[in-house]
Amino acid sequence: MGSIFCGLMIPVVLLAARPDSLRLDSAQQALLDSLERMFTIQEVVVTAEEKIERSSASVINKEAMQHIQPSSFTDILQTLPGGTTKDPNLTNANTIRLREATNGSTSGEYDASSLGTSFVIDGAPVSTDANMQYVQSDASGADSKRSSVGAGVDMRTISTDDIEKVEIIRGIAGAEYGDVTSGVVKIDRTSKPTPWRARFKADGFSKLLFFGKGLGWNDEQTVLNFGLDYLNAKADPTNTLENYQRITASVRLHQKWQADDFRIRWQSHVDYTGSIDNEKIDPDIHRNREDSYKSEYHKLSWNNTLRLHQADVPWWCFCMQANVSGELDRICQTRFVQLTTPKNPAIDNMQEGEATVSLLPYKYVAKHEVEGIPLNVFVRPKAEFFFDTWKLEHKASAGIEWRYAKNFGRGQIYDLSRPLNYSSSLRPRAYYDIPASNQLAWYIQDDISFPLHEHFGLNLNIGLRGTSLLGLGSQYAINGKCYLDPRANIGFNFPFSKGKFYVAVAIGQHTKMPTLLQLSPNLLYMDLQATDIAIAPTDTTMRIYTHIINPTNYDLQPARNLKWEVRAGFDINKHKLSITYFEEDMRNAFRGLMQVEAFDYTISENAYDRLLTYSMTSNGSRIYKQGVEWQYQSPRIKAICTRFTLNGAWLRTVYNNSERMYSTEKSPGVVNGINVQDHYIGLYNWTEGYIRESLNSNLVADVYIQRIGLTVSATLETTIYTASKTLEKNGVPEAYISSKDGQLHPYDAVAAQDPILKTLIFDYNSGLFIRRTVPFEGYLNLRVQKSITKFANIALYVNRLLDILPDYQVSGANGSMVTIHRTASPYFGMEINLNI
Amino acid sequence: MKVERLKIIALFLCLLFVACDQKDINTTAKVTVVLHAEGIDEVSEIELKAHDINMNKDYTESTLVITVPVGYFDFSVRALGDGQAIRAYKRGVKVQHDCTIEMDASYVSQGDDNFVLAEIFFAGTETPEGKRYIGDKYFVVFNNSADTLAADGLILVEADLNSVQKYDLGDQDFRDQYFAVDAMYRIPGDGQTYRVAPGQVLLIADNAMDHTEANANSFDLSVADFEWYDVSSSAGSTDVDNPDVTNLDKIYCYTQTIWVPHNQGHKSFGLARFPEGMTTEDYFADDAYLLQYNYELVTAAGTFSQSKKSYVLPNEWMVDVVNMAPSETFQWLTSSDKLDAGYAYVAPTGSDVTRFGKAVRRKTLGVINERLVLQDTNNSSDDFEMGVPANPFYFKN
Repeated sequence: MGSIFCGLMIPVVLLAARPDSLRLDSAQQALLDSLERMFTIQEVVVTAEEKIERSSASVINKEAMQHIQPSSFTDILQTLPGGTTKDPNLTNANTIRLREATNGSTSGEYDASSLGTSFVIDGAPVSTDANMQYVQSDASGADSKRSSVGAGVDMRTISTDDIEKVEIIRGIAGAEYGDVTSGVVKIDRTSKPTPWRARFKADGFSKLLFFGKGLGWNDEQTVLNFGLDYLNAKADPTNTLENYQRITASVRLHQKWQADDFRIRWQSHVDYTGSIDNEKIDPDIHRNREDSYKSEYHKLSWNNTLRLHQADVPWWCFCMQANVSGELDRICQTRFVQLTTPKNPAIDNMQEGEATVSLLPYKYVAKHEVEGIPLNVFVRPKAEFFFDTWKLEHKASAGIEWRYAKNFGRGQIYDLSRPLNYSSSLRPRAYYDIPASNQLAWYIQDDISFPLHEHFGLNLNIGLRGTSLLGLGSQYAINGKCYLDPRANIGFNFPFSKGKFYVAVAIGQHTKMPTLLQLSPNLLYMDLQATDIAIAPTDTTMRIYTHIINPTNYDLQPARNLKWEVRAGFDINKHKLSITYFEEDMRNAFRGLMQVEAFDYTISENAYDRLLTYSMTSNGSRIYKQGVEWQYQSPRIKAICTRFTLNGAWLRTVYNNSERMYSTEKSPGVVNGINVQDHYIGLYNWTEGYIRESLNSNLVADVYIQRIGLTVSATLETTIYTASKTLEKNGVPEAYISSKDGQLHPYDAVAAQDPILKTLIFDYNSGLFIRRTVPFEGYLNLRVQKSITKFANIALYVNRLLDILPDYQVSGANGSMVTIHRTASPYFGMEINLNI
Repeated sequence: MKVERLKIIALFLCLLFVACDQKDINTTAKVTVVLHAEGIDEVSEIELKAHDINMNKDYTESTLVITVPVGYFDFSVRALGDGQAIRAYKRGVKVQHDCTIEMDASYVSQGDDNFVLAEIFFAGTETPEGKRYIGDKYFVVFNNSADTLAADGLILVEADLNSVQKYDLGDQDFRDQYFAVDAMYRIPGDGQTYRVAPGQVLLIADNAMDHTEANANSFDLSVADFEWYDVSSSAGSTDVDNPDVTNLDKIYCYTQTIWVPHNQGHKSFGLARFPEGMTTEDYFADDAYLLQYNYELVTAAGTFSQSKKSYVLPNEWMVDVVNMAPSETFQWLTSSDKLDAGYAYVAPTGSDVTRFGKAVRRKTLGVINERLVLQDTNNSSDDFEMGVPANPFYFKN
């Protein structure tokens, strides 16, 4: 029995590791293929599976994805431990936040979390470092919710229909994965002959259409896959004026050559993704007729992988990956602008110094265009070696990586004298003037297996990665410096007749380099005016002084996340359990930190002084993640054709600043004619931040009846509680800066008595820092798939078919209690899949 | 076709009956007013006015009994109670037949210093293109006393507390003692510079200029008596200063840019004076006037602990307070109810788009001794006409 099991286990393990495993002859390969078919037929898995090797990771296969019925990649994340089902929101940017509490931060100050999650599609990472598509000077407009600058990949742009398998590495990634802090999303797409496939999905807000086919020739030596996908989503079904459209087209060629001594495999993928975000105002409504917003995204990428290895039992393999992707992104925004206050200058001065500027007309139409043409190149030669030393089996690899990112767009294009937002002092610049980023990295890693004993085995994965940014100029501290990421995982296996137990410990450093905009931010133009010469109603011009500040932080460091985790679990008679405890500490995540500069200027020979404040990208954020993730999967119980999966997570995330900071948060404005912020700003050594915590548990019962082609899954999705807490902070400044001398002065007892300086102190209510919890909420989600014939299959899903939302009480006014009553509404979608 | 014709005939007959019926019922009614006047022994010089809301027609009587046609009426009584002006008011009374209505009478306030806010325009206007314009806000200050008064030193204030965000201040509730402010602008002068005759007004504008150029739906405020001018060192926020119109002295404002009175009407406004001899330096040096307090923000989702810092004025310094809150979203009075027991509004909700171009205007009590007297019972719910079309010159004409 044991030997049968082991006989099965070996190919299963090999199956999981197949892309990298090369020690197979053709007979073994054939056995594997047939086993793979057999397993996929009988072992339909419609939930994410927990991968136990190397690091904590979730693997979602094609069947699971079909069962989820996703519109975009975002929908797949619900299968992660503790994941919650969210209705598609396709008119907002969707960014990924791994291992963060469900009520976690959405603030841009902690975007390093999603920025540091790497999406690797068919071996090539998706780079967003040159993404600069945002409408400057319009922070609260239509663009703000759609822009993902500095926040990583917008998952709306990833279509799911060509995906064969997704692996989401939540834990410590192998050393081959770089420019990452939080996690890796590894996407492998279909590369095999398939019949014509068609999918049509509709739900309350969107429609999706997909066609695809895989062709094979010469005994599948040549395989060509192609797919075409169209998605049209609306913000609101009754509103046709705000929508999101996406087209993805993919052609993927896989060619194998066999020489006597070598095998060569070449993959060449050409992908196009186009998307259009639209927002207009109903022209039938008289108001704001001219206002419109349109954001277009066109991306073309060409990804090539060449693998070369020995024909017989190989001991080495060489792989070359080259990916080039170019985008043409354009935002066009038009707005009818009415001055809300009478006089405002049209500031077009681009020079430091005094200037006379004209005043804006009372009303005008502003046109703003943003053109971004990011070009990303990724080249990675790597070599893999397979050898034994004593009783140790090694799979070693080493590689060198070059990442190039540059934006060739013209940037923000608009008439400075007719701006979208006339109170903004931002100036346009061409993106092609921003220096390219060149990232050079190398890595070595070794997977070592010690088959020590019949009942004890040991796996050791160690890796080291070095990353450098080159060609930035010597003024950058980061330039040319090599940042080392050591990563290690040690696993102990205890196999026995019915399965195995395992325990593993992993630790690793992860580094994300800053993006182009973080390295080379736009110059800041401070437009100052005289405080004793006012504009009269009859004036047509005004005198200003423009001061130019370069907010480049030459000391900027990469964001670095130190992660460690302990995993334990078993796999006994197909009962699989895994539990992971993890901690991640990123102490220098990117955030804009307020800088203060004292500045003297003259206008019409009168002298003035004031403090200027601006934001500089710094390493001032800390994101500390902690949690326990678990997943139990039962075998399919034959009598009821049902498999149970229980997964969940307790997640606690601390978001706070990690550096002292200036703050004008509680500054009082103008006191006794003195503009306080212009002359005095406090420096606070406080912790500004919050803790978010959640405990989620999902129970999935999926029924698969092969005879009638029916798959039904019911998910009881529960959030046991969520909690939030604001971190205590001390509102007494440590020092203050004065415009008179630009120096920091200690904030002492004398300062605390000064009529102006005393306003810089703020006493926080201790009640502000009380932990607040929201109790249990539960939903029942249902997904049904049914094959109608051999060729067709229909599916539908209902999120929140039932909800369990008990009322709860919170404190109310004057010591009373307030009952909170929660409601939820279901969400439906359905689709039809054809295989011809 | 036939059926249709029958229907029309039937309808016609019905109308005829209705018309005949109408002739038979009473078309007038006798209304008797019972005036509750606590502490007043003798009521004289009564003027009872009934304003027919639908017909826009007034009926007056010198007794407390009046005969009017049936309809909807606003009733008001002006009289002398023990020799002093009193008034009573009841709005929206449906009169169908002879009836008795009860009204509470109260004294017209007659303090030593009787400047009152007569008209407050905080909502801004809407342009012909449907955009908002907020540079044309104004306040009308009215001398409601019998004497010529100097406006020098009168401070225009905006409340720091918000009428639609209720705070549970617990034992730190300071409203009976202080009025928290987020803006203070003072009329300059040496004490006798800006003298205002009884019944006369001062127009205080954000920008004393002709706003019709920027927005055809706005007004020409270039003749305002004062404007508030906010010095800014940033060219992105620029205030306009008409050299021909005196600026108010800026004592304090919560924002370092331009003071724009709360445009949804969530914040109360008032007039105040520092005590004789007190300078702004004295005021800011005294810790008593900068309150730091904790409160519980009361929301539908429970209460949230917060803290706040406010500059405050003792209630005795307040000359007039007009609480503001949209009628449907009102949560609490941000001043002591002794300063103002009610609140005024221009719209049911703060974001109501019909609020643009509308103001609140103090009701007129009448002409007493040849001067116009406005109603000031320290209850703005009663004292103001709500949501009237803004007219900065209403009291000037």
